[in-house]
Amino acid sequence: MDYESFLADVQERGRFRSREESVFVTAAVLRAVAEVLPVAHVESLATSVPQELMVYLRGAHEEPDPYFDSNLFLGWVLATVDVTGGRDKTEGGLDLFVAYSTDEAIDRCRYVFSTLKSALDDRQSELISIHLPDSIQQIYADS
Amino acid sequence: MVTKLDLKAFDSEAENTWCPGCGDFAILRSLKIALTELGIASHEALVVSGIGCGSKLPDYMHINGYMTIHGRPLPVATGAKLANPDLHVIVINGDGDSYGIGGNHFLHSCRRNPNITHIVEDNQIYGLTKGQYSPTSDRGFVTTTSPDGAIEEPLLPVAVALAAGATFIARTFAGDPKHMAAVIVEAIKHQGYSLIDVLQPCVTFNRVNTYEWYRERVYKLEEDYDPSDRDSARARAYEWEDRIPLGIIYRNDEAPAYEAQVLALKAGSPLASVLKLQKDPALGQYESLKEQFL
Repeated sequence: MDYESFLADVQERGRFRSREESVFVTAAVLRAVAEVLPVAHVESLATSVPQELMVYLRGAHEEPDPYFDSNLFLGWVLATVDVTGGRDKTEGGLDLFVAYSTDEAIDRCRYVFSTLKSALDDRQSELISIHLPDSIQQIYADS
Repeated sequence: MVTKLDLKAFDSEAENTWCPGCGDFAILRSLKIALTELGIASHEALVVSGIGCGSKLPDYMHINGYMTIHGRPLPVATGAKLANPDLHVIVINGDGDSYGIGGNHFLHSCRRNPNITHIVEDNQIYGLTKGQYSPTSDRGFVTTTSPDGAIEEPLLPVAVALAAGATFIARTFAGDPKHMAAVIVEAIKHQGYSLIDVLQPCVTFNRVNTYEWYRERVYKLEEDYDPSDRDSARARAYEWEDRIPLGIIYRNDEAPAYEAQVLALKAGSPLASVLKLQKDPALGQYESLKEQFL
């Protein structure tokens, strides 16, 4: 899968209005993956992941932080979420972002994971899966 | 060796209301890891907080906790430490609570040197009140109270602490919980006031200083860096924006802690004395003290 096809696939799954949004989302999720994936494993993905996206994965650490959990993972993705104009679901009001952001972040992980999985072979996919924090691993499996 | 069972000893049943992705989760976990590594049990420590998102932390731990009014955890913690020097006293609050509302207490805790570990959840914004710029917000930062961008220079907590005489100054990043736990361990072991400024993204109200923003800028201090060298520490304390150092920036293990110099404490812990009197009514002094002071 080439770079443009990857982005188009993410854009279609997420129904994003622009290619740019697809770029932001893909970059954020892959940067989060880079936080948990040992750098030694990154190059084995190069045969399937577009080179333009390998840039994000190459930010991986020699030894990923063993305490990096699902909250930190979602924190990386949340930076791309901009929820405005939605209906306020909170009791106190003014928390539009908080009300929607988590579900949106999880959905965004799902869109990118789905596209990523379709580009990887089973061994490469397993390599990523085993390094994800528990609840993110489940999102990956369900994608 | 840390096990899940050990960490669970600090779990509380309170419902956590932090936003998913918040750096506070990593701080909470790192504190639990640090306490577990040091073998400090819940009853041997006190966590004091102020007001703010991060100041809810004592509620999310099975530990002695005290939520004070805004900006006041340091004097309350100092009082607790004087009353019971055997207690491990840890203050946790945000950048607004520490450096803004509680700025005066921060300065005097630095020079006073009570044996308190001070962990500041520095997300460069007031989160609980929905996003106003804080003392550490960068110049130009747009928020509800700075719609044209903050026109003030940010406070550099590490530099201020160094100038005010703090004896242990460190900075860490919520995105590196292992590093954070290791720094907290060293801070608790330090005999005196220890400041840990934790760079902590607010995923909801601060869309500038994200995990990615910090990751691109932070670096860990070199292995041969000497934290006892005050001149080196001063140079690192002013590093901000493009390169932000993480680690123990300054430490002075020679300075005596505040409570070690209080003459009234030479006879021992006040709390221990009161408990001793309480257990021995024959002394009659406990009732006398109660009548006198309560």
